[in-house]
Amino acid sequence: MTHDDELDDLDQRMRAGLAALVAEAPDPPALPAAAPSASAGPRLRLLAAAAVVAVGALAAGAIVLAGSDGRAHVTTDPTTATPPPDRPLAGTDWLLQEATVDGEPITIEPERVPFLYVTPEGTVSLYDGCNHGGGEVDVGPEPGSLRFEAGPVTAMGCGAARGELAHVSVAIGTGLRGPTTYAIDGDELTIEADGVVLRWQASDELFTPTDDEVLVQDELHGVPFRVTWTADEDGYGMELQRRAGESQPQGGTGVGVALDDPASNLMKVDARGDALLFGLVPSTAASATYAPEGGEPQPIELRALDGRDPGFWGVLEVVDGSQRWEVVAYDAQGVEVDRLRWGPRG
Amino acid sequence: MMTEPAVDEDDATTYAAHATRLVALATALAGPSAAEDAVSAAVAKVLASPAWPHVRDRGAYLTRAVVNEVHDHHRRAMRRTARERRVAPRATTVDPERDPAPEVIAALAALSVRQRAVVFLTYWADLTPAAIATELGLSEGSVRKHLARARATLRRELA
Repeated sequence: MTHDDELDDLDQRMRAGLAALVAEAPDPPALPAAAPSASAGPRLRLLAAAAVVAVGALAAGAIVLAGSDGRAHVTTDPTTATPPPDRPLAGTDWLLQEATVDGEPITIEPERVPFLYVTPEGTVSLYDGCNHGGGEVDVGPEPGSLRFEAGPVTAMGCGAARGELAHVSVAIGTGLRGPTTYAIDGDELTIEADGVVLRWQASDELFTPTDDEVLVQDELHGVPFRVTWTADEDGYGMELQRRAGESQPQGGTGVGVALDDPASNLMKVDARGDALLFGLVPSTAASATYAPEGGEPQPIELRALDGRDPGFWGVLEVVDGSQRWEVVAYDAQGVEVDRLRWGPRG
Repeated sequence: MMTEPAVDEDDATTYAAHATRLVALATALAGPSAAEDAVSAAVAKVLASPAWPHVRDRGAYLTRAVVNEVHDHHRRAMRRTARERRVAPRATTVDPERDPAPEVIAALAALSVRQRAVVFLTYWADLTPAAIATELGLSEGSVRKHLARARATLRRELA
């Protein structure tokens, strides 16, 4: 069967399978009826039902959501339930949920959700959906006011090729510049400035959501980091995310390797000097070592990607990006098959 | 004593136009038993969102709300560890004697929520990658990437 035949077969099976699955879909639920909220309090408005259906013992603060169709959906009555405590601005991971500019919603790409993190000392770590940056923030003097001062930021180009991504980064740049107002309601943070409204949600995830496969999630020098990878028709990409450490903001970096250049290898360095090793070696390689220039070689793990040739270097650890590095690959007999050097220029 | 609900006729009309499609989407993403709750939760959040009155493409907004609701539910349900995680979360369990097309359900479960959404919109809604990009608020390149990876996984699972 050719590749095209395989695709046609797959397409037919998926169409038939999804049609059978959707045929078992339930009837649509009744539309939740919403009443306008009187204040900027809880996001969930008080919901009323046309007819209350007895559902037995309800938890304190529970109300019926809809009932005229005989189905009862129980939710929390925001006027009686104990509201969750407000999360602190500092020390909380904030993920952007909504962004509007003059009331117009801005697209947030699910794979590039902006995040915001402020240390108790007022150091800011920010990812705007494209670039990572830092800065400082002062709270006050008026209640609910903030003043941001931008710091170093990466300069990746994320223009029209990424759809509305550029607008998200622009919206964040406007919203987090100079004096702004902020409000925290439970686990939601709202920041407003110059017609921009940014709504953030507190997250307990160590790192931003991703659909890419996690290669490694560990700690280095007490700082959690995560490396994910993804493959497409052109090659591979790896991304490093690192939590805030002592005098280092949270940040990340990424590398890409092209399949049509199997000897290519890249090391990326972010603003704080972290880097990760990534590259491709010939399929004849059985082992490999890496070493800083003039340093002692250390073994590095070779990992196969989807059974493809050649193999590639896995991440051994986050390394000092200010140094020059050398990787040597050997075949099963210990004969060198590849030698790659890279590091900062100059 | 609860007051009569203030139903927005515009919201009711919008919902009626998209409800069946949204439930079909939620069924593909989370299974028949979880679809109704997913749509209820997503629509409730949409109606409560201050951005909703300003949204122009309401169908796409609702689609994204359902996808995000299922995605958020899985994230909350996943165990977080500091160790390496190689296997994508599986959303549903398959009952070959009860479920229609159990092999497709099992194959879908091997995909991420976003990949399932792209697959659903490709094979059930017959949308182009460009249209899917608009519907989900992604770039067309991301859609193509999701679809390519999903197809590779589906071929392996359905082999």
